[in-house]
Amino acid sequence: MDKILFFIILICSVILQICIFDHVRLLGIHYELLFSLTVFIGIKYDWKKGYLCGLWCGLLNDVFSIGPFGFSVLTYGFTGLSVSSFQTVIFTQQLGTRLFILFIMSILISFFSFMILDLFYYSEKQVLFKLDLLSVAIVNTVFSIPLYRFLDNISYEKRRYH
Amino acid sequence: MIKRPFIRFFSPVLSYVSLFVQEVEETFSALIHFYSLKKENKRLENTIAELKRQLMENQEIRLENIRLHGLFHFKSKLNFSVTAARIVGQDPSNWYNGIIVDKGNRHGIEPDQVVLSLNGVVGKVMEVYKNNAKIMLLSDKNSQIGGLVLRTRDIGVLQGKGGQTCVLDYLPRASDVKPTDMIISSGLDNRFPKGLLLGEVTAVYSEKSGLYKYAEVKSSVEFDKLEEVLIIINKNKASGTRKFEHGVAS
Repeated sequence: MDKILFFIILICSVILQICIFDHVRLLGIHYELLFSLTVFIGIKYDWKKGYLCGLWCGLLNDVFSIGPFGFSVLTYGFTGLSVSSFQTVIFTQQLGTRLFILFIMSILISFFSFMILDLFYYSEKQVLFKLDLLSVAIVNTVFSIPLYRFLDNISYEKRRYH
Repeated sequence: MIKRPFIRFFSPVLSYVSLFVQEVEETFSALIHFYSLKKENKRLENTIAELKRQLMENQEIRLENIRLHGLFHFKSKLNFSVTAARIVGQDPSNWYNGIIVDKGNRHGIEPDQVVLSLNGVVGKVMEVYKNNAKIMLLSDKNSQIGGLVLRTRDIGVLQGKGGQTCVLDYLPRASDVKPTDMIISSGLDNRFPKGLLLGEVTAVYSEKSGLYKYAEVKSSVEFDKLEEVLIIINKNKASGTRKFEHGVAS
């Protein structure tokens, strides 16, 4: 995936996330397209691309969010960096494996976000486990099936073209 | 006299035969004009599609007109100087409840200004840019507003809980707050004018050993269905009577 294609996908993802996916809720949770994109790039390519994608996605997420600036850069960057390490452990080219990794990463990052944002940062008793971590993971995984197929097709067409 | 029985005899036969002939003629005609009919059909299908699209557009315009009409009436009833803004985006994160509107500091928007809708308080302005502003919704977990129970006049702090629900905390233990009680802004936080509708109590809890009661409040605004909001640019005064009309005490 070259840089231009990556940035086109990134811009489209941001627009889709802000204008469409935030209105579509499943289990009270909306799909995190930018997070799923980070995981996909991290798994499919090397850690550098994963990390870079995570930073960009996190940055754009922070720009449009009302939360503390830089938090998504940190978490998404870490996600992009860490998912690439799965390449050495398991065969990551299958859709099922990728979705499984996305599921695990969604739970881990949501838990981390909860610990930092809710437990320590705001320390409010009412918001403990406000978000069901499992719901976030399920929604991200389910919605990612068509996305990952689409991205796979794009990269396959690109490869065949070359 | 001779003609009549013949005619009576042949009449039904003739009508059946003529019907048959008509059908056959129409079928042949259809076969002959198949191509032109196909073209005509395509043209009519396109016309129907165009009319449907126009109908949809008209319905959308009608609904928008109704909404804007309501907002205009609401605006004229308010004692504040307000500006209307359209929602152009939502917070991408699952951890925050925020929206992005199409008005910014060019239109007089500033941080901490109060955002309303027809049904009550939506939230407050967090960040302002030239043509856009980010708004924290009432339901966000970081949102805190001074609340007042309309019937009992008990004061508490309304905190967001995500979704459609909030919690009115720090209510006196002796408070007689009940489900279906209306909650309005108390005006004690110096940000939200007194008398704005916040929501309705759905459940009341009291801690066994705590000093306070707290109530679960359903926000009067359906945040998922919001399309336009009003931002209070200049708050002069708020009326404090107890009759509600369109989300504000009038």
